Amino acid sequence: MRFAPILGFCGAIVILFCFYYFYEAAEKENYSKNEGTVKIGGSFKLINQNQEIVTEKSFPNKYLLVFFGFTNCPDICPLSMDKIIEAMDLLGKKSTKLQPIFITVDPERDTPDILATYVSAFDSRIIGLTGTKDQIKKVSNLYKVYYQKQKGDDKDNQNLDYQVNHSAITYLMSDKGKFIIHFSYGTTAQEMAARLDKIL
Amino acid sequence: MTSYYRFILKIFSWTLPAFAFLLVNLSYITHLKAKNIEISDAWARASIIKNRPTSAYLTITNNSSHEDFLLYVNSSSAKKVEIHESKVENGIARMMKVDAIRIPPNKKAKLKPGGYHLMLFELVKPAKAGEHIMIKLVFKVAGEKSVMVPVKKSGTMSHHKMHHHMK
Repeated sequence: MRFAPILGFCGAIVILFCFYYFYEAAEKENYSKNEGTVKIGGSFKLINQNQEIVTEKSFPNKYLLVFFGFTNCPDICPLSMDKIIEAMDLLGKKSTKLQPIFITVDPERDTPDILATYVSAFDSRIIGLTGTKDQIKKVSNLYKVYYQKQKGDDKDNQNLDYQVNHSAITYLMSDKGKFIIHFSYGTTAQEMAARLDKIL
Repeated sequence: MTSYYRFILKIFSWTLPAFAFLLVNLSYITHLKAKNIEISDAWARASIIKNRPTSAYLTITNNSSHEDFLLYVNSSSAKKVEIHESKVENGIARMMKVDAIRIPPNKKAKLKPGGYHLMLFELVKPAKAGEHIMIKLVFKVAGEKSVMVPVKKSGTMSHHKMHHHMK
C-alpha cells in the first residue's frame, strides 16, 4: 500500500502520455489521409533554370510545394504563382522550410533560360524545372498530373502561341519526400498559409 | 438659269440645316450610347518573356437598360487582340477564345485573372510596367470605346513586396 501514491503518480504520467500520443496521431492523420491510398511523388530527374540537374533528393530538409504550368500561360499560371508567393509571405518565418517548385508541362518551349526569366519575374525563391519530353512525362505521371497541348483555332495560333491544358493542383511534399496534402485551384492564399502553418 | 439656281439654293436652304441637325443628333446619340458603357479597373500584365502574348483585364459597366456585347478588341500595341476565358474544371486549367462577352442591362462584366481576359498577341514591343497601352473595345450597341490601360508587373495583386518586410 506504501507504493500506492507512486503507482498512482506513474499511472497519471502514463495516461497523460497516452493522451499526448493520440492527440499527435490525430493531428497527423488529418493531413496524412492520402498516404497509402494514392501514391504521389517519387524519383525524378530534371534541370533547373540554372541548367543544374535536380532530383527529388536535391532539397534536403525542405518541404516542397510543387505545381505545374507553362510560361506561355498568361493568366492562370501567374495567378497561381502570385497566390503561392502570398501564402509564403503570410506564413512568415516558417516559409523558410518551404521550397516552391514550378515544373513545366511545355518542355519544348520552356528551356532553362526561359524558366530563369519567368520565375525571377515573380520571386527569387521559386525554382523552375524542365527536362526532356520523357522526363516531364515521367514526373507528371508521378504527380498524377494531366497535360495536353491545345490544338490551335487557326493556323496562325497553331505553332506559336499554343496553350497547354493542365492540372491546376499544388502538392505539398514532406522533407522526407512523402506526399502530405494537395491544394486545389480555388484555395486562397490565406487558406494555404493557414494549412501550411499547422503542418510545418 | 437663275430660277434653276434659285431652286437649288432653296432646296439646300432647308436640307442642309436638316442634315446638319441630323448629324449633330447622330453624334450625340453615339456619344450617349458610348457613355452607357464605362470601363474601369483596367490593367495589363507586363511582358515577362519577349515575343509572348500578354493579358489585360478591365471591368465593363453597362449603364443602359438593354444588354450589350463586347465584340472586338484591337490595340495599336499588338497585332491581334482576342477575348479569352480561363476555366478550371475538374482540376484542369484551360483557356479558350470566346466570340463575345455579354453585359446584361445595368450590370457589370469583370475581366479578371482566372476568368475572362483580353489576350494581346504579337506585341509591337514588350509591355513595360509603368507604361500605357491603348486598347479599343467595340461593343454591339455602344460602339467603340478606347481606353488607356496601365501596364503593371505581375504580383501587383498580392502586394507581396510589402509583406517581405513583415517578419
